[in-house]
Amino acid sequence: MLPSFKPGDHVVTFAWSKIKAGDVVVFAGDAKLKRVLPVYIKRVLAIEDKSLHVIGDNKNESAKMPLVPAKNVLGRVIWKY
Amino acid sequence: MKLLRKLDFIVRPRIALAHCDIPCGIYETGTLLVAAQTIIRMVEVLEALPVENQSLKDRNNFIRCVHVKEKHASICEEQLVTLWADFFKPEHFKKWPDLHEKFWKAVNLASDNKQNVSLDKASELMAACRELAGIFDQVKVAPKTDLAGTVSDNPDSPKKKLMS
Repeated sequence: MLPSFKPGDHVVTFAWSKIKAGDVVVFAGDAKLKRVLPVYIKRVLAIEDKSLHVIGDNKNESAKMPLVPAKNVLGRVIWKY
Repeated sequence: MKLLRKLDFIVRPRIALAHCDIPCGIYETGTLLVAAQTIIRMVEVLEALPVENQSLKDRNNFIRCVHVKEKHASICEEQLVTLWADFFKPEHFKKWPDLHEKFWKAVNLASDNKQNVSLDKASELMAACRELAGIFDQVKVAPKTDLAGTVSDNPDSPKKKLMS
């Protein structure tokens, strides 16, 4: 997610606001196990029904990711420190 | 900001992966099985050490074995999470509805083996890893000819022996 986020950056997410294109979100691979599975941080490209098209900011290294169901999202990034 | 990061000691943050792993398609379970087997062996060695009147050598071996057990339990966890998050796809979780639970239990068993010195728990972990390796073998596409000699197509591979 360079240059927006570097390794070691901390983010705070908020789970109760509406997600829109351009937001950075943190999500897991499965909704039921999202508290234990590894999580990912990506930017929302577009929203289709209840799924998100996500992409990494680092276009040189980002591979295409599958559609992410909205229920897999832990929250929208609201702060980086 | 540095002060806020000191809060990490109180509330440990989760790591969010940003870099997309290059989808090289190279996955295997040999490392996982060897790590699980190593834990069993370390437990056997630890249980064979004297409990009382330990010599300096005994204490040295005890520490070394605990260190190796801990390291290989971490390898098990890492390998399991990689297979769980990167290799298996939604269609596999549909075909094996309890696959998430199997991985969850295996990861917890790896953690249990860090906290305990127990042949039962080590054997349980090995059985769980073997089961997941078996499912992996059903899913993994046959290797290309330029990868001849890889674990999955070598009949004498250590993995085949660990699976039997």
